[in-house]
Amino acid sequence: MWTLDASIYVRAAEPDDPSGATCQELIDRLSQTGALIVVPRLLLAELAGVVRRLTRDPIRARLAIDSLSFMPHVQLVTLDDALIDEAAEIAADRALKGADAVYVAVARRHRATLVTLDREQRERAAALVAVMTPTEALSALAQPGE
Amino acid sequence: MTPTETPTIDQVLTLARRLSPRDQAHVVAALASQVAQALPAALPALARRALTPDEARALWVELRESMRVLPGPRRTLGEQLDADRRDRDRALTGRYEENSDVDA
Repeated sequence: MWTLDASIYVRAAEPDDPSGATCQELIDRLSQTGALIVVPRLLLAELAGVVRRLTRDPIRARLAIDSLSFMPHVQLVTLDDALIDEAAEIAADRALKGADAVYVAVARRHRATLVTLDREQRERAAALVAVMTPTEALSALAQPGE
Repeated sequence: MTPTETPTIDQVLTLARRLSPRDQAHVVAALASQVAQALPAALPALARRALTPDEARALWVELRESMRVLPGPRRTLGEQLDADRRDRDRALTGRYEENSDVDA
C-alpha cells in the first residue's frame, strides 16, 4: 500500500516538470499493478488550489478534483478526529508542517509507504513510516514480488 | 455569417478546428474561465457526477495536456505547491510575506 504526497501528483500533472515523467510513471506503474494508494482527502484541496492559483482557471481545477476523486485504486481517506489528533502529535514530535504530518499520519495508519519529493518530510517521517522518493519507489516496484 | 450575427455552435467549431492545437487550447482555457464566472452555481452539480475509471484517467490526461500548452515562462505546479506551503509555514510561524504572484 502506498501514500503519495501532493508533491507527487502536482509534478505528475506537469509533463514538462523535471520530475514530472518519473512521478507520472510511478502513478501509472501503481495503477497497472492494482496497488492501493491511500491519500488524505486533503489532497483534493491542495491540488485544486495549486491548479487554480497557477492557471487562474477554476474549471481546470475542478477537472483535477474530478479526476482524482474517481481514479481507480485511489482511496481518499477522510480526516476524522483520531487521524487529525495523530497528525497533530506527529507535527509536534517531529517538527513537521501540518499538511505534511497529515500524509504521514495516513501512511502510518494504513501501514503504507510514503512517497514524497519533500526532503524534510522524508527525513522527519522516516522514524515513523517507510519513506521513498519516486525513483526509489519505482526501483522497489521493479523488484520481483512487488 | 456577418460579424453582427450570433454564430451557431457548429460555425464556431468549424472555425476553431482551423486553429493549431495550441490555439485551440487557449480558446478552451479562455471560454472555461468565462463560463466558470457566469455559471458558478452549476459547477458543484457538474463536479458531483460520478466518473468511470476511464473517464477519470482521461480527465487526468486532459489536465496534463492543458498544463503542457500553458504559455510560459511560468511557475510549474510543483513550484506553486512548494511556494504555497512555504508561505503558509511563514504565516503560521510569524514570518509572513504577502504573495503577490497569484490573483484571486
